[in-house]
Amino acid sequence: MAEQCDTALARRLADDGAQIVEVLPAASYEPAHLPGAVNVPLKDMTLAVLAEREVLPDRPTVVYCYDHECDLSSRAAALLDALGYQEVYDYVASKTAWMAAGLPTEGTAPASERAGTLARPVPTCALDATVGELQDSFGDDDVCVVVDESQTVLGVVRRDVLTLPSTTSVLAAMQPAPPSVRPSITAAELARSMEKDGRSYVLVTTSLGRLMGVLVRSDLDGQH
Amino acid sequence: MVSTDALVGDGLELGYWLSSEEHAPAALIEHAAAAERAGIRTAMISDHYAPWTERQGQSAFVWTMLGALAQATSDLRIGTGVTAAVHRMHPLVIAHAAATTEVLMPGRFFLGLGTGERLNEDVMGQRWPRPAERRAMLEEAVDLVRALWDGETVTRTDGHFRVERARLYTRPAVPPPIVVSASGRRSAQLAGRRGDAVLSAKPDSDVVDAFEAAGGDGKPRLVQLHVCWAEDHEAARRTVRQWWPNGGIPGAVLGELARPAEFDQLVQALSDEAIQHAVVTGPDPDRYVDAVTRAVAAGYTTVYLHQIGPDQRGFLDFVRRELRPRLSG
Repeated sequence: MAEQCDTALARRLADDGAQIVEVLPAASYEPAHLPGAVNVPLKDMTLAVLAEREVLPDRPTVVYCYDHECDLSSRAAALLDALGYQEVYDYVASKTAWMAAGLPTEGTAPASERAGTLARPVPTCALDATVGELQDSFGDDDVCVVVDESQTVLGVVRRDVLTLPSTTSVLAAMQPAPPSVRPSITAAELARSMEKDGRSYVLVTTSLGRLMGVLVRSDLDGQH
Repeated sequence: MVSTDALVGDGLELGYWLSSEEHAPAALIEHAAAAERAGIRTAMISDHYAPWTERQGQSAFVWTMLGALAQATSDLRIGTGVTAAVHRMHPLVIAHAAATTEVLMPGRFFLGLGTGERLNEDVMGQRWPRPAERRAMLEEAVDLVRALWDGETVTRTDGHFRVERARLYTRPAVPPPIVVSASGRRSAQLAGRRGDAVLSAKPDSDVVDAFEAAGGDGKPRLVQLHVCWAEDHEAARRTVRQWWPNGGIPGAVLGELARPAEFDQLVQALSDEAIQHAVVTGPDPDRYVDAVTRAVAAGYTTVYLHQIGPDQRGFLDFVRRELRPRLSG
């Protein structure tokens, strides 16, 4: 019986040499897939094709598809199990979660056109700081991101808060829900959505809310 | 070239709201002078045809008020909050009135423009346009007003406003800035494209962001904050219920009713909680500091305090003694 695995376990299994199999059609596999992944679309999944692509029954095998709503990886894992594969893992959250965690991919779509690669470093501060302690924090940026020890985003403070008394706490001066996107979004998609939503900046965060950087409109010039 | 001197203060600025819905003309003049003496540097005055509720009872013509305010104050920077170019005021009349005001108080006037409320336009007996149409009218009005201020002879045979060879003879050397009122993303984008600043009726970081993304980056962002200072907290809440129950009406409805009597009926159905929700009340200065801090956190540079009810002197004294010291340094 195949086991389900999350992103952390999928990553560990890959590092330990498991076979990684993307079961989506080639058109989805080619632009971006997990590093070292082999493409065996579910509709082609026979013992002959698996053998030809060197997916061996006696090695741990992780299968994935598009995202947690897509059932192809679960069906592929069940099929591999039925075909006698020894140790099969269904990476349910799949490629979307992998990319949203900011993990590397391979493929024809250059990573350089995704938010995760384009994101620039942004100043950060702690929730228990005061506005006075931020005087020199902003540099050329208009926002400073409030993060916890794990770099999870708690909010942002704008440069304007420097007009408040220096003893004002960051907690009081913080804007709690800054706009954010996952690192997997392409620059062209992001430029379009920022224009539509009237955003001057977005934070790039992993699916766990961890800060990767910031993008402003001019960072995406020429992308749409 | 527009000068934004009338909008830009030094750091965080506390402004004062002259509520012409609640106060008679002579009282408004006294309040403005008292605000100036209390160290306040900027004010906005409502531009209404009617008050929101019958109890408020007043609604002075803003351009007459501005002529008097120009004489009664010496440093106070004053803007309209806000003038609508829908039916009641044609943009060329707005341009004319505003140009004269700027000449009377050079560098001290700014024109606030918005898409208006039916309350102030219905008296003209015309169809009340939907928000998108009013935004288009506002955008057209801004262009028309600026062209007239620039000394152009303007003719318009298409669009929402007809103009026949209009030219302003009394014009300031430097036109005043235009502040565009915004309550959502589309109006914030319009403010960013066409305005020299944005004004919000309540703090909204999305409005600020949309304003900045659409061209407003670095321009002033103004916000209104309704308050009711009184020594006694319960007395303040009673004053709010009596004088400003309309604060509890959702924004989408606020623009759609035609008469004060209709607002009176609607506010009867509101809970006290809804009425008090967006108002800072009572004597505790920390509550006011928190509210101003939240406005600055959302991205606003000037916070206009609207003291609800008759006690303006007590409030201005509170600002001078309690509030300003806590918000500086």
